[in-house]
Amino acid sequence: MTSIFPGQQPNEKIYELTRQHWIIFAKQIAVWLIFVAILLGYDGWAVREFDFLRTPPAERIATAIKSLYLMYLVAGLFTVWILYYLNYQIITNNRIVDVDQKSLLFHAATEIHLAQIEDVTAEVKGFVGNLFNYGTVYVQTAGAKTMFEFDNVPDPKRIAKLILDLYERVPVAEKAAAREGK
Amino acid sequence: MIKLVAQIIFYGLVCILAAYSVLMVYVLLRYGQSKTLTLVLSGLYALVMVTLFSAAVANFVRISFPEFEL
Repeated sequence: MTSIFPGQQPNEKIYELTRQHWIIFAKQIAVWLIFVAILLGYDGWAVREFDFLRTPPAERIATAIKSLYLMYLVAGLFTVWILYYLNYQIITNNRIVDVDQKSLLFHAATEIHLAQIEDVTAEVKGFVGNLFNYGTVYVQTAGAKTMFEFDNVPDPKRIAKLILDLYERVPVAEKAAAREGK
Repeated sequence: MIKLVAQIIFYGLVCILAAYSVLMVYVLLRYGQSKTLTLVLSGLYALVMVTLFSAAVANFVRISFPEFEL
């Protein structure tokens, strides 16, 4: 079986791999588009408004700067996508894995065994959250990290229910051992 | 002198961007789930960047800078 994430066991079945709702990505793209608008504003307004910007030397300087600016914009877009793509959560039949890529050089992977779960809460708030059905799933655990958060995931109630259903399947002995280990 | 300063700034910015791009591709290769997707997107990204760089350099070398003697 091909492993989807590092440390995946051979008999481990993945039930869910979830990322933030696409609307969160769209919001970041919208911010990025503001910077694109600066370029469009230059071509659409500044060039028409100021005659000296239409002279050949000014055009060469402007094109060189615009190309460099566009390179940084494309790099910014790629960065936004990478950070969206590398932040995900995995729910398997054994554990929950939370992979956080807070920046390019900050990578954190946290996992908890299902037996360590104490409480699961799904939260949907705000107009946009209710409209697009996304929110946060809080998982209270008995481990070192006491609270897991799945931020801005689609259909958080379904994910919370999945986690609870998988928790119910964990043998009682394992749950007791996890509580004692606390 | 002005030309030298402009060149340092221009190529310096390009070098910083190149280093950052290499870092992005490395992070994607290391932590991404699909190597194929990483390579395809990195290839497309490189293509776009090279095109933009060519346009930037082509216009930059044609800029005439005033000469000042120190």
